[in-house]
Amino acid sequence: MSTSNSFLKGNLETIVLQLLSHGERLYGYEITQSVKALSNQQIVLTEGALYPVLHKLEAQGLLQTEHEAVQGRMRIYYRLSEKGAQETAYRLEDLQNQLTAFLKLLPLKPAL
Amino acid sequence: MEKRILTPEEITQVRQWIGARGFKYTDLQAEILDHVACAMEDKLTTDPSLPLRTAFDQVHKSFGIFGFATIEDAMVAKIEKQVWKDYLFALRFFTQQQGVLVVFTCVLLIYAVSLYTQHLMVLLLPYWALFAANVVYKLRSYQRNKKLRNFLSYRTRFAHGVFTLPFGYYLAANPFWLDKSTDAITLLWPALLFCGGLCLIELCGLYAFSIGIKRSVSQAERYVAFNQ
Repeated sequence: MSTSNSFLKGNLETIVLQLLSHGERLYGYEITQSVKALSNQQIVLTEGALYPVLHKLEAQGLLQTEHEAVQGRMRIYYRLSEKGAQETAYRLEDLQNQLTAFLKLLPLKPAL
Repeated sequence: MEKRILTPEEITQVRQWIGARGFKYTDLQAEILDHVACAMEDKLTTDPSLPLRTAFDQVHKSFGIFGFATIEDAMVAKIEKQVWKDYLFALRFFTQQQGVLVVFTCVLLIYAVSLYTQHLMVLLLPYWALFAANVVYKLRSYQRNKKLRNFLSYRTRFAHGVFTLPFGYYLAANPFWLDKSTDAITLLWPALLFCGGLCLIELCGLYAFSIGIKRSVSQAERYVAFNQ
C-alpha cells in the first residue's frame, strides 16, 4: 500500500464494499487491479491485506461467493449481499461524516 | 498486445509450485492459484520473455513476507467463525426449538436415576454416553471422509471438534457440590442442572460438527466436480 497504511487499513472494507456496490461480481485479482486503476496507482492493495478483508466480509454475511471454472482453474467471484448493500450505504455515510469533521479540524483543501 | 493465458500444463506446474511451498489443501490451492495465475498472466503479457518460474517468484514476493500464509490464515479465520455460528445454531436448536425435548429427556433420565442412587458416576451416565457418541462420531467421520482430509475447511472443523471434546470432560471431573469422601452429590437440583448442562454441551458439539461436515462435503463436491 503506497498511501498512508493506517488510514487505508481502516477503510479497506468500505473500499471493497463500494467497489462491489454497482451490482457487479469481482474476483480477488480484479479487485486489486480496480483499486489500483481507480486511484491512479496511488493505492496498491496487497493480497495479504485484501484476502483477510474478503473472508471477513463473507463471514459477516456482507458478501456472497460464486465459484466458476475459468481457463482451467476455479475462480471465486465476490458479490454484495442484500445486507452488504445496506452496510455499504451506512459505512459511506459514516466515512463522509468523518471526512467532513477532518476537513473542519485540519487545514486541508478538498481536491476537486 | 495479446493477453497471455497460461496453458493447462502451466497451470498444473504453478499448482505444484504452490503445493511445494506447503499449501497442499485443495480449497486453499484453488483460492491462491487463480490469483497467482492472473498476476502471472499480466507479467507474462508485459514481458513475454520472462521465464514462468521467475514470474511465479515475483508474484509470490508481492504477497509480502508471509507469502500465501495470509490467505490460509484468512480462510481458517473464516471457517472458525462459521464453526462458532454452527455452535450457536445448535445451542438455539437445543434450547429454543425441538431439541429442547432431547435435553429434557436427558435431565428426566438423570432425575430418575437420582431416585435410586446419588453416586456421581451413575448420574452422569447420559453424559458419558453422549461423550462416547461424540468421540465415535468424530473418529468415524475422519475414517469415512478420506478425500475430505485434503480440504482446509474439513481439517479446521475436525481439529476444532477434537479440541473441544475434553471441555465437557473437565467440567464433569470437577463438580463443586460433590462430597469428595463419598463421591456422592450433596445438592440434587444443582446436580441435575449441571448434568443437563453437560449433556447440552455434548449435544451441541455433535450437532454443530455434523452441520459443519455437511457444509465441507458440499464444498468438496463442487471442487471434485470441477476437477473431473
